[in-house]
Amino acid sequence: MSAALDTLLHTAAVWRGSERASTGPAGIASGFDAFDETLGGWPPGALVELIAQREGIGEVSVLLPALARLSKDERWIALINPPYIPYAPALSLAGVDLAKVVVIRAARSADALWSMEQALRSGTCSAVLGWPATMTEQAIRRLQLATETGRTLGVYFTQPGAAPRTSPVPYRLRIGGSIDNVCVEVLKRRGGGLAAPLRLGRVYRP
Amino acid sequence: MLWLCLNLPRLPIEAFLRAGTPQDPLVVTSGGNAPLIVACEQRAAVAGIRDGMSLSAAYALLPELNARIRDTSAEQGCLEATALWALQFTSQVSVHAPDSLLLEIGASLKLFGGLDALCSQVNESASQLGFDTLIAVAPTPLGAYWLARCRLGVSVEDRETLQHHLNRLPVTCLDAETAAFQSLERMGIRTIGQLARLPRDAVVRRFGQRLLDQIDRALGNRPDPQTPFSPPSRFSARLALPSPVSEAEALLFAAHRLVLQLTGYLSAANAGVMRLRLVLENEDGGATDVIVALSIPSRDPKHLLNLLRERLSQTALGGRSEAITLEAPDVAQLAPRNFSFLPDAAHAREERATLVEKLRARLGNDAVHGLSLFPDARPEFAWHEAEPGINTRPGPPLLRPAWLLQRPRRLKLHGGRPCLDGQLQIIDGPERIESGWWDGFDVMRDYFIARNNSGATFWIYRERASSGDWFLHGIFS
Repeated sequence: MSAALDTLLHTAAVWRGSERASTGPAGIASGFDAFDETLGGWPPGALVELIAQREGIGEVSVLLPALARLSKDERWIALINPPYIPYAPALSLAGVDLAKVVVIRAARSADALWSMEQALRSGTCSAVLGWPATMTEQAIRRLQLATETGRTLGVYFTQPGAAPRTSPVPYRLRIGGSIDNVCVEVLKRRGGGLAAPLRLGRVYRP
Repeated sequence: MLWLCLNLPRLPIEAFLRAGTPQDPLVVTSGGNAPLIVACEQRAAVAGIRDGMSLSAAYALLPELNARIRDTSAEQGCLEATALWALQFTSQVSVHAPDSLLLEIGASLKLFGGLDALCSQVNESASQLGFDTLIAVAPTPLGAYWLARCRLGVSVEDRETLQHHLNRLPVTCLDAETAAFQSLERMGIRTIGQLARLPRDAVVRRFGQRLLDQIDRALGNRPDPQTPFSPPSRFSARLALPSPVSEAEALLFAAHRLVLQLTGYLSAANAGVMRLRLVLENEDGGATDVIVALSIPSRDPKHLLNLLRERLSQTALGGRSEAITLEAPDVAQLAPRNFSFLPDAAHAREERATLVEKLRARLGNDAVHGLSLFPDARPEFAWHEAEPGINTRPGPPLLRPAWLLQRPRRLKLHGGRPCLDGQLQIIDGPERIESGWWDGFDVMRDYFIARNNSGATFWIYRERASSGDWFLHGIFS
């Protein structure tokens, strides 16, 4: 690269797409180097949409190291309408303090979203994970606002094609592969462009 | 000693209005054959109705008038309810019939940040309770009462200034017969000061000891012990609604008043409520119970009201309610909280608990739970639903999936091998689990970790009993 270009690139007037705008508080270490290098960890105070290509590929396990870290905090880790029983022995083995976990079952879809919003907004949760039956653009807006207010890690899971395509969610990640070879595609992130798919490798022991 | 008198000048009418405003303008009458207006609502006053007017004259001015006979027992009830609420400011509260409370505040000044701060807190909180109030402060209880009754909203802290103020009050402050007032008037004696300057023995001869006694007590020259109001051992407060109500918001408006009373009661006992019971008395004689359970005792009126609101919105109201009763069947001591600049762990736990309570109030108790481990080899019994926040001892480090199915699902076989979205490849196992022969839920299984072609990983088992069937029990998500 020529010296002239080099000088130009080092002046503050030039913004380079590869530099992520620094956004708010430091991320929560995910436990995966590739993830932390690209995204700076899980973002507290920003809503994350996780799209799992299918069930059983480690889509929950990718979060467990971060949840284990967060559970050292006095705050709750709220699981709202998980599709199955969050299995206590597995969470415990991953290092999550069960005394911080609270599971919420809401029969009606509106109640589930309400619970998520309350948990996110209250500031008494370090992480809120939701499995909403439906998600609308308006609901995402509300949840994002609540996430900012409570400075909580807010994650909701959807299936491919279930969430609205245009939505104000700041982070959208798609999880593929299998549990011992997890691949995360960053479809959308705050303050940054595209990134190559992240290979996290084995997210759990099998 | 410093006394604060809280006078409720509009008590006769407010005794009817506390729970909400009725449709038609309300007046309170003396009752009897020729009822006179004792008090009237603003809407009636605007129409020209005044205290002392006969009821028939008032009807002529405003035919849609809602006239009620004065209910002194309801007024007494209001005073006692207010006394309960006032216990948050001082432990010594006395009811001074017919329309006042006396609070000994000398010992409370420091806690509430001085006299002015205390008075404004009392004022503000009293208006939320649904009463107009007049406040006066004096070194003697009767002095404070007179100042308040005469609408002299002053705070007097020493006896000289008190004497100065009292001297100018009209003699009608005194508790005396009408005849005595008439003869005082004939003598040209209008103020307490004029009366006090007359020769004592002459006054005693003419009016007896009573008048001078009152002046002496008001000035502090004679002791004036007050009977302290003692709170009941159990809180229960009832409020009749002005008209039958079925809307949750109207019920909450009334409940708010009762919650504030409860707050005073709890502060006096340095306690918080663990369980709240709101009874809605229906028109048809039935009753609906609304119960709120708390995980940490609280006396924060906003929090309690929020919980009641959520619970009410989830309750099927069986018709319209005529009255509500708030009870605190379960009360626990509250740990005193020290002022701290750093958020402490106990405080964080308390904050956490409010979220659980809020969610439970709307979704029901069972909808929110924590997780705990249980030492049982059978996977479905190795965990329990627990109260959120319960500590649990770590179990053996066994490889387990993040999701467990509520009930194992039977797998289809293809060529004798289990399938789930395609053929399953065994990648680990077996782990043999045999247990539970003693309680009838015995288990004899071989567990495997298996994966299908698309990469999804499952926890499956084979029944070792006769059938040898395959089941899906968990998902490595």
